[in-house]
Amino acid sequence: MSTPMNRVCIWLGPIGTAVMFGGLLIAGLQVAPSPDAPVTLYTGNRGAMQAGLMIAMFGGALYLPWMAMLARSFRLAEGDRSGFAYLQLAFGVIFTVLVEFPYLLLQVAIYRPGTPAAVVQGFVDTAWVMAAGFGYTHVIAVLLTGVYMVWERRALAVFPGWLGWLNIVCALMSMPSFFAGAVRSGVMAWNGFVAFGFPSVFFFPWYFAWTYVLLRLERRESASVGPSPVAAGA
Amino acid sequence: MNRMCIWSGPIGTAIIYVGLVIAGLAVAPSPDAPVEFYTDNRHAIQVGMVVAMFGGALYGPWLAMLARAVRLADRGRSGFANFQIVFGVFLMIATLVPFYLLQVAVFRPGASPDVVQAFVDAAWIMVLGFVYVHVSAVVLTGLYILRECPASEMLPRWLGWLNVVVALLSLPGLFTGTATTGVLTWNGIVAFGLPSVAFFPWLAAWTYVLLRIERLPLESG
Repeated sequence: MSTPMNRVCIWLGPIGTAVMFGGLLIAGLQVAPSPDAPVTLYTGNRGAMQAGLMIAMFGGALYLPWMAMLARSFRLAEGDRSGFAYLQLAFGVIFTVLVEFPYLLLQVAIYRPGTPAAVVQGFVDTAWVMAAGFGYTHVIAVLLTGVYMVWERRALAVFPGWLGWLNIVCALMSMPSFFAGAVRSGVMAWNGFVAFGFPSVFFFPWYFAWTYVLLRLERRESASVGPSPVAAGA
Repeated sequence: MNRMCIWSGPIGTAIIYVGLVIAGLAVAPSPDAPVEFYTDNRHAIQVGMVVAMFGGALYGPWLAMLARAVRLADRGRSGFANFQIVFGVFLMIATLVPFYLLQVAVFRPGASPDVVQAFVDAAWIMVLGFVYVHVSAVVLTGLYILRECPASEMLPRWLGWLNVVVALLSLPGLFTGTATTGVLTWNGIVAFGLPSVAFFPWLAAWTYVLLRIERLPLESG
């Protein structure tokens, strides 16, 4: 059954993404800086970066309810036999951890004025390598989900046929991020056109397509059932 | 076993607190505390962190019972049981990682004070960094109880309001990663005190409700 709070949770996903992007814009990090950027890029911009990171973390926390609704959609599609609902739950946790922790690490890097440059650089590197490292679990989870949806198209009839293929394409386009922790310059660095650009650009169609499908599922649920047993005092 | 899992929440919290007392960290030290505060107190911090991490791990079963309660209350109608599971795992990670970082900070005698300081900063900033997820999860859960479960025997209305109030009181924790002095630092009366104090009624109230649900016949909703 559908509930208004489910729709709120779904909408919090794109809202959280917008809030996060607003935060990154304030911090001057809407595009990842080069690995060769001097630490003064971070320490010299401390006030704006701290404010921006706070906003970005607040937005990032809103992925959690969205991911819970993604898991719910598989349970709606398949019932209790769905193992993929659990996959989405596990993926949702690691996804949120890998969104929030890099921001916390950047906060640590610039927290104390006068911290030696090498220490700041160490935390900045950890933050960006971790941010790009989300590709490992993202690719596996999104690719498996896409293959499963294409493979089990009849059993998963509540999802549109194109969504499985979109998941596969987005997963494959995110693969270059694997290299961001190993390459320090060029297109495969964490700010590179391939390793940063491809996964970043392909995140959005994946995200908005799922949001659209989750909202559509909610509307169908609302249309197909009556008032909830809890609300009815059952 | 369900009741045992529910009791593991408050028991785990008590164990965490004992660990922090042993480590001399029952109240967060000032950001200006010298690194010797940690390095000269190495063995006590190591023992205390071992105890605290053991306690932190006990949140897992408690949070699983919280997810179960929501599932029982709305019979799987909403996605909020899923939400409690993902929130629960995040809460455990955010509880345990700072303790790991404090262990790392004092692990190697002779480590550079700058490196020790950076790991100590990371630990305390992350302790309250979990507030970002905690606030949004607890306020949403409160609104869910108020909006979706108005007549629920399992999830009483006061619990919804309590969740909303606790979430709002935890908001100052958002500033701990930026303030280095005053009431908004990680040991400040507002940023540390309010979320810490608000956490206990939240934990106690949910534990009471979960134990009460265990006593209800399963048919009633």
